[in-house]
Amino acid sequence: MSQAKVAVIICSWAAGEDMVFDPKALADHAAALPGVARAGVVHRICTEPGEEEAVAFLKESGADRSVVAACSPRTKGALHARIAERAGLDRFAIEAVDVREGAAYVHAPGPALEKAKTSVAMAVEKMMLWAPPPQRILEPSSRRVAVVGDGLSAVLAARELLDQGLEVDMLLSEEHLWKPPRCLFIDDSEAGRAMRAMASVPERARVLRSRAVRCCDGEPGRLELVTEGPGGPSVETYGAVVLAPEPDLELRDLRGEAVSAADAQGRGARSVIVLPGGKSSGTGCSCITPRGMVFALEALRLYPDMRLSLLGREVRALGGMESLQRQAQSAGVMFYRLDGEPVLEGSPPSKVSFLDPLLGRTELEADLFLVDSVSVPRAERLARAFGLPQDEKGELLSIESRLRPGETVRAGVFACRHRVGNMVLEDLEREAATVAARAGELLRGETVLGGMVAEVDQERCSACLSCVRICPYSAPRIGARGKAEVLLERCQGCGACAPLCPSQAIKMHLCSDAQLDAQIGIVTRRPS
Amino acid sequence: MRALDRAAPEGQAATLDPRSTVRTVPVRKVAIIGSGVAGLTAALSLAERGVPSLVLERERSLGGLCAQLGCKGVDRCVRCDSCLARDKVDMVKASPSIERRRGVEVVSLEGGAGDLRLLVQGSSSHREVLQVGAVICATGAEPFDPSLERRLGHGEMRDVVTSLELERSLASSGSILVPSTGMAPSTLAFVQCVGSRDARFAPYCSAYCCKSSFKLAQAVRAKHPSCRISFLFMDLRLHDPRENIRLWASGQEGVELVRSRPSEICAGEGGKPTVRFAAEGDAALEERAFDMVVLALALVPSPGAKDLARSLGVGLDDFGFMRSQGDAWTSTRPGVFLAGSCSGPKDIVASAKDGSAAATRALALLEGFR
Repeated sequence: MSQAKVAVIICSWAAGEDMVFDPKALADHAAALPGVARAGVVHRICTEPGEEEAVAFLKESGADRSVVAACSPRTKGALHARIAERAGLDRFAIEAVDVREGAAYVHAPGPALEKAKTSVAMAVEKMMLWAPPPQRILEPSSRRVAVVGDGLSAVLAARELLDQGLEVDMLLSEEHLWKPPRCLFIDDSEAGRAMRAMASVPERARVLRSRAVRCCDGEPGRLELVTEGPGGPSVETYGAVVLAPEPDLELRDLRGEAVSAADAQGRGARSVIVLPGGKSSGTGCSCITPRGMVFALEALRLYPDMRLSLLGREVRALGGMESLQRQAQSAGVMFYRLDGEPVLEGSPPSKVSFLDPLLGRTELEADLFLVDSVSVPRAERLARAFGLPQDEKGELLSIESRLRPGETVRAGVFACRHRVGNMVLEDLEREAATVAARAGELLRGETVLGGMVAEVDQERCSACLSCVRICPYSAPRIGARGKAEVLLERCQGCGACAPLCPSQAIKMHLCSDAQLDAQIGIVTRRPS
Repeated sequence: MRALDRAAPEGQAATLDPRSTVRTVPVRKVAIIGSGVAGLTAALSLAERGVPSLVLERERSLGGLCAQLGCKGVDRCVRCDSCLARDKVDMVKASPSIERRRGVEVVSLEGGAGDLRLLVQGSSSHREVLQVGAVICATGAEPFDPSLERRLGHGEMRDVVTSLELERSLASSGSILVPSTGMAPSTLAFVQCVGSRDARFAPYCSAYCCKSSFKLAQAVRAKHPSCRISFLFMDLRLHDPRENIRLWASGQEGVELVRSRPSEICAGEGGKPTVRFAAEGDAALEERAFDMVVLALALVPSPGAKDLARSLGVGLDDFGFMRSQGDAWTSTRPGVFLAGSCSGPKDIVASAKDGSAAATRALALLEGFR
């Protein structure tokens, strides 16, 4: 085997805008490190000329791997991989050292340069032991996206996907779409807009009714979805899947029945009190929401003599919803603040007693009590079908990365996240638009799988299932040979499985034990 | 932004261009006005879907208001999202299909959806016509000028600072110190809704400030654990119910939440800012001196919004924000889309989401999918 040769690129901006240290000094230090074929400063690699210079530098160096000391791989990872590929190297043969945020931004000039030197030396040592990781480039084989959900959220997500020129299958768990509650819409134009979407979107998509998703296999761009419906089980291939569980946004009576303003009138109610969901029901927030205000305004329009009271700890009317609050107040809707939980009295309840911070202990009578609670359906079945973790409330857990909204731990599977903002139509639309845009981005380009992933040594594995149990992403499974194997497309490289394996059969690519030892060696050997 | 009790103001409605039908082949390029988090997200989202764009920024640097904010994490990330703009600036710079122009202003917009000609002017009065298929307006909003609200004493007392001033100090030096003494504060008050929810100034909720002040309060506590914090608010309106300021405050000694809108802040003993407010459930007026008072500013339409709206031929709403039509991201002029706080105050996450949504609408227009 020929000796490994590392090229070290120091970006001129690695020392920060204030030039905390001289990048040339860092390059000179790197050039003298064992194994380094060439080290030099490139003027701002994130600019077009800088990128060209970096590519030329790597080509001329004759190295087969590289270290780049610049800014964060979080934002520049794609650029670094592109530079490596263009120079004829493996796209994973470039190790980024963030000396800008890690040294220049946080240390005084002297220590900053020392830390940068150590960081580069560690990276060089790590790259000396580099080996190409398993990887595969996927081109989406299908431009068809499955939207799983029964309500308006699913319809909105489907519309956003169709508008990007993608094909959409809507998978309903029941025979028909759920109708959104009237109190979600702050005016008639919003209601009309939503109803038009409910009517027109299913015509542009393929609607599969009464379908239960059983499992999902395959890779992003090529996901195989097994569903079961009236005609028995079926398997379809999709480029991506969007999960759009419908939140419950109805106002419900104490028996749990949804009540609209017209229903309240129909029941002969003369006085209605809307209570917050709050802690007692375990769902929603303890606030007065725009939905309660819309309901009250509509009820007053239908029945001007009705008395309407909204109870809650806060008035949740963000942004322009302030106007709605003013409108409701001037129409005569009463707003009461709650301190603690309200207590219902009588059977059936005819009175509510609560502590108002200004009025003190207050009692109100009403002949209809409604509860305003938002809840997202518990998603056990979806979680199991897609191998997704759930949070403590049973909702699907998404990667809450602000740079990658909508993504779940399964590449290619996206999920709408609810319970944000006012929970009015605009919030549902915004979430659907974001998630659908992410799916569109995935299907546009190619996806690289692999890199920092776990691999099981088939000879050493004793099929003890430790890795299968610990993995949050359901990546390892027992293969045909009766040994554990890790699915490339599911592994996130978190490393949870490797130290747990009693046979030490699991290797982390791009971050092997030998590489870690070598890196630690640099620090421990360093004279103090 | 949505105003419910309004009638369309005359003269501000869209001047619908008679040629505003989509050409057979729309120009495959989108101009994005503004490089805050909404504009940058729109550019990146379009790039990922294969559409080139041109980001136009009036100022000398990219990132908008969000890039002026400081990180509020100390021992852990508190998800203040202030890094989002900086990260996106980095990503935009490294993207080959996004062009950037700084120091340019929009003069006029002609043509119809799919075939628009945007006239822009650079700093050296050099004018240029940009041929694009769609325009995304992401010019954001401005913080309210606290000198308009004289009774809060900003500008008279050094230790009454705005949330933006505190953010900038956090961004530049990473510290939170009392301006007059340079020492750590031992008592600090957050005053919410400054300008917001006020018929005289911004008669709407600014939507970002409860969240932002909550994160600032966490940063203050992490940096100065013994600092006592009073949080004076009208309603707690955090977007995500999982971000529970009540739960946080109840677990911190010396943090109190007071539902009250201060009537006045004046210089008390030793020049310390003294806040006068009615305590909750008690008609008595309370006066309390703090080392430092932080005013959470409303977001208001930027002074240039009116001119820009005229240049672009889009309508404004009653508050002076860009008017949306049909959905929150479609302006009153075909081919011009809206993202972020230019159409109403939003927090960072909502602005970023707006960027994706507006990008999808531009893409649908350019590729004829809608």
